[in-house]
Amino acid sequence: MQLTCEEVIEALARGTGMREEELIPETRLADVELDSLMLAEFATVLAVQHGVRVAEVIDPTEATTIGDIVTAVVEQARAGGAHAGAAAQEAHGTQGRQGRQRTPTGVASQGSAP
Amino acid sequence: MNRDVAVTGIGLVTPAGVGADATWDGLCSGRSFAATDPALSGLPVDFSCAAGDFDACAHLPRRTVRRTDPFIHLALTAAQQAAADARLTPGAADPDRIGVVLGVGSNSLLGYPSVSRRLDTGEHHLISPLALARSVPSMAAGEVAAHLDCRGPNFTVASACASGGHALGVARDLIRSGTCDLVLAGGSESGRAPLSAISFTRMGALSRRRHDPAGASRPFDRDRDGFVLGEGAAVMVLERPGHAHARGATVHAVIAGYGASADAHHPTSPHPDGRGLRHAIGTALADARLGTTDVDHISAHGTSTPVGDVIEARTLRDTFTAGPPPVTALKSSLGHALGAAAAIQVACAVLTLRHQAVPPTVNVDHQDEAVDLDIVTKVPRQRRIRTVMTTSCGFGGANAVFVLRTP
Repeated sequence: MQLTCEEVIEALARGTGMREEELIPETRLADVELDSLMLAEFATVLAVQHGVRVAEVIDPTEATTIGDIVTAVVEQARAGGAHAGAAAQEAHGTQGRQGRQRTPTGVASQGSAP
Repeated sequence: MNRDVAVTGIGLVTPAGVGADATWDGLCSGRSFAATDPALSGLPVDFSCAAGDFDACAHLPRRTVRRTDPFIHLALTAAQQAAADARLTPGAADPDRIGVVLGVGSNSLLGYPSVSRRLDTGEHHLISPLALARSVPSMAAGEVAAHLDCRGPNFTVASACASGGHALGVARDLIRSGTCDLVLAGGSESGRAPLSAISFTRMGALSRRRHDPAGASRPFDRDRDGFVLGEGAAVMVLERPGHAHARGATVHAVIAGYGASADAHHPTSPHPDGRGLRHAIGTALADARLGTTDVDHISAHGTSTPVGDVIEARTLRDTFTAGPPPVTALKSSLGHALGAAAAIQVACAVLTLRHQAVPPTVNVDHQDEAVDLDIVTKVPRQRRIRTVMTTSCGFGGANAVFVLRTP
């Protein structure tokens, strides 16, 4: 399973609600107040959208940078962290970017996804 | 000692619009905001009153929107409006003495079907770690506290469709007792989740007027057949009048009386004699030290259900022996925002006192003969209004009644 940096950044933006332009490689988690809960949500987005399990390689400590996370995830995916299959297919078919619904308040629905 | 509690800030997000002015203008336009709802597509009842003009990202940080459900977006936005209206700027009050009490009728049900499917298939690693944190009712009050730095008492009241009323009542008591200097209080709910809609449909509570969504919510009309799901939030800033004057805040209205009661009868049906509502009305009037003839207008619960409306109308007729004052039912226009509905009524009652006008009840084409009330219909009615009563009821037999007065 190959993941590009762009795909990881997109998933990180979706998982955390940050804008992609805010996700600068040198930025530390502490600087943008990214906590372990939001990183766990990011890992779930990757699992749903790409069938990749990465939770164990994400270091949520404050000194970690965005670049550290992207690198770790890309390497983990390349090393075989992929669990492609039904989950990923479902993600793309019903919960992926194309299938994302709008909530009652007009915000991309995360209450029902992932 | 002055027992009144002042309302110094109002925040409203409703199907009529974002803000108190938009909501008031929408109510006075005499139209229903019900329409076919894509979120309910394919369900037996596929229409609702949505807060269509509300874009959460226009009012809140994207990250907050990402990790919370719509009822929290609505609550936060209404709370921000209320705080601004009350000039509640940083330093205006001791944060330790600012409370937040919100009413939310049930957990947000938006994400549960997805979680349930993952549980069934054993795909536990695909369940969002936010599934619980984004949906539990207490998160609305918690997020408001975090965003506005309110470090006093913080909790959520759940009494179904009376939740927002009871939250305001508890908040009123926190001010009266001296526990808090200020409390942001009200209710929030988005009832448009498919699980919520199908549950109410199966219960037989919703109107099935799919061919005419705008005509579906018709409280006190003979052709009513159920309520219309809605969403929204109302948050108000409460404080002692003296506290408000000392910090230069404007007092919009005062809460003079509050009554709470239970029917102690049935899970979903009101007591046929309206005994719980009658008790709450009596308690609120006694609390306000007023009589029925002092009330100039009633904003009724009026959901548009065949049984509930008649019981409420009969109760009002029997309680106000000299004849009830003009009555309106805002759910005809806004739909039923469930846990937020009572707070929306109270907030709009404050607007009624401000504008000296009663918004109309929409869709009363043929008033039910069993409803012996002066229902305001079609257009707003201007009149001298010093005292307004709101009546709200919820599943479980909960009732909340308020008496509000001009300052």
